[in-house]
Amino acid sequence: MSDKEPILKVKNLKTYFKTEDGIVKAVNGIDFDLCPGETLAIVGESGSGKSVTSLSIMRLLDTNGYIPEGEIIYKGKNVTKMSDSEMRSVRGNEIAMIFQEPMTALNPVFTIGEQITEAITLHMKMNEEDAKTRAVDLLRKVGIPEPEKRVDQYPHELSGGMRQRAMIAMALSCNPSILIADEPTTALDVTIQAQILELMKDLQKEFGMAIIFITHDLGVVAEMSDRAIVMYGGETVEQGDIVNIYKNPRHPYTWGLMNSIPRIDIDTERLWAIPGVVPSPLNFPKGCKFSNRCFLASDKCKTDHPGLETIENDHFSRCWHIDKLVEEVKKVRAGDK
Amino acid sequence: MEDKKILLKVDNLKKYFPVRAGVFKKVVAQVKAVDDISFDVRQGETLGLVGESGCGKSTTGMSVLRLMDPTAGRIMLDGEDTTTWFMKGSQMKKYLNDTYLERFEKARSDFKNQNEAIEFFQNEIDRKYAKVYFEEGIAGLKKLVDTGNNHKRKYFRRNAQIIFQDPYSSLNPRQRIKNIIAEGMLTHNLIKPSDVNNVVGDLLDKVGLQKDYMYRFPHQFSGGQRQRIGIARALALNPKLIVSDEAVSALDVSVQSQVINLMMDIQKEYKLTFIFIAHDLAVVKHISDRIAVMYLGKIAELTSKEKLFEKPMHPYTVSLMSAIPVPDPEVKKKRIILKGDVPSPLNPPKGCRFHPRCPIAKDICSKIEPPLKMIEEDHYVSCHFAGEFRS
Repeated sequence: MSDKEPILKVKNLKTYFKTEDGIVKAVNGIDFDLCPGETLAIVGESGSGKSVTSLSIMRLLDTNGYIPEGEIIYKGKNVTKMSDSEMRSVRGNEIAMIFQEPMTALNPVFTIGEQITEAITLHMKMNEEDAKTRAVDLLRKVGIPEPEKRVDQYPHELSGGMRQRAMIAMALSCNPSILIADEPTTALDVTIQAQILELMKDLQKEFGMAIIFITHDLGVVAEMSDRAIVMYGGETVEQGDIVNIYKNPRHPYTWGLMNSIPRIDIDTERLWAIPGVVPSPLNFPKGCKFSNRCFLASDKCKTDHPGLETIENDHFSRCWHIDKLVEEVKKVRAGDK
Repeated sequence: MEDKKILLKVDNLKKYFPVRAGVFKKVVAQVKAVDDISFDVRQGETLGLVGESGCGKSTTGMSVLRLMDPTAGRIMLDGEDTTTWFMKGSQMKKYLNDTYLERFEKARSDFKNQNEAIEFFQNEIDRKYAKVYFEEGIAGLKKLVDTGNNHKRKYFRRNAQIIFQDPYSSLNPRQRIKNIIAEGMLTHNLIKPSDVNNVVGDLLDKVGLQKDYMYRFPHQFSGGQRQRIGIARALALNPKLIVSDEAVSALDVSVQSQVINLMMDIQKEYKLTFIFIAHDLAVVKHISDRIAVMYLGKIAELTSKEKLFEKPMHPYTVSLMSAIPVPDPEVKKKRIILKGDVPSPLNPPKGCRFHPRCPIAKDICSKIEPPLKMIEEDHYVSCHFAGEFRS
């Protein structure tokens, strides 16, 4: 993976929002590289900053959001410094995005075809007719039956799974080099989710684009991605190769998440529960942001903010007790039984 | 498990929603959300109802609790036929006729002796009603089922409670937690008004919230805390049966596990019986003793969780399990990708409802609807080729 030149580099990205109650630091310093053809998962619960990260890359933040620090380098150019027109030529063309709720992301008053051809005529300088032919091809490619008919239908005439396919077709219309998928299967049933995940894998093989996969579903992450970033409170708490993250988690939050989900392949007597709830973004504890919910927290955690430490090549964790975790987990497990 | 008493018995439950159109709002079609399903829930167990959207799992829960009026079917709670408790006049007459009288008349003509005819029925309620019918006639039976229905309804409401999916819309935003939790207990005269603070405080304590939260309003709580309040409200009446309708689906992973643990703890403590409705098979597996997999208004497979996961027999169950991503990057499983979408319950396929998507469908599947059959001890499958499809 590392021998390739990254197509996207995010360095110390911070995204803040001005609100009535003060400045909300939704994303507070995250770093990652994305290489062509790889899939990077960003995992976290609500309010962890995973979606804001993707919106920052697309420059789709609300008007009260801004990026005070950090760089997003796409093919050598800093996205945060691009002019609006430069950004327009990148967005939807080279970096495309699919959203969680296909009904709200599609425009209900235009046909599927009109919405796909819009991007094609804009970015690829095709005439209407060729664009429509391409739209039909794309719909066929994403597995929509009778694409000639569907292309003239409106979003409400399609089922949830079909809409998500149409949205993928739209995102792929200009052969993007990066596809950002924000919870693309969360609203779908599992059998439909399986179809969409399979489709995304096939399309990635065919087109070679890089995918940033944003989700809270640890099963989907394991299935889809090569690397993962676990976010909590706007920060990366652990980052690394997918096998390391799952088999050898080195942050108490990651470990807690892995053990709090019921699984169909393993029987668990009692689920691990991370105590408490994610605090409001204005009320995170000083020091380590996870310290008020962490079973390893010491006095140091409450006052000093840990940095992202390298554990081994390409595996990072933000914790003062990286070494203690493995031992403590054994004790917890023993106590359980 | 086998000798355990059956708390809830549901026979041939149907719930159709009429589709109306035109100036006169004529009924033009029926959405068959739940179409003839039967199941038992045993005392102290958790029955999981699992399926994809539109399979009728929530409608089943709502109908069992009589938050919706079922189109047909018999719902028996703790040895009593509760169906008539919510019926009036002609509706009740028709129900008695369809459910009991025809069978009673047949039994009477089949057996010479009245007692033999009564003994013929397996179900306790059937026997009880048959005895009254044979001795006192239709008038006697009517009198039996039609007296004290107000009282019976109250009894039912107290003993069958629900925990809803959305903790944001299921708590009245204008009431304090204390009133939300105590309302039922006061209505049913279970406690004196002077005891409210103590009792509510204890309940909050039980579900892991601080006692003084009772003076707060719902908006002051997070989703997980609201769900705890919902659980406290259901517990307050000390019910026999709790239906939990997607109670943990809206919660974040870390909070979800807290609420699941809480539900399992209180079940042990209060010996509660649960119907746990969810779309997430992993969650259902964790919490349930037996599981019913539903597809398009029908039960596809019903058995203990061990059997379901070791030896799924319905092709839909097999496909559903293989579609769930496993949180382990080293497991690369071969999945069965079902074609197409779930058809609309307005126009369900003829024959087996799963046949257009089924990997092993044969001719017969598109013609004859397979009944839910017992394949082995405590393992019910509705498939002509049960057990022939493996992942």
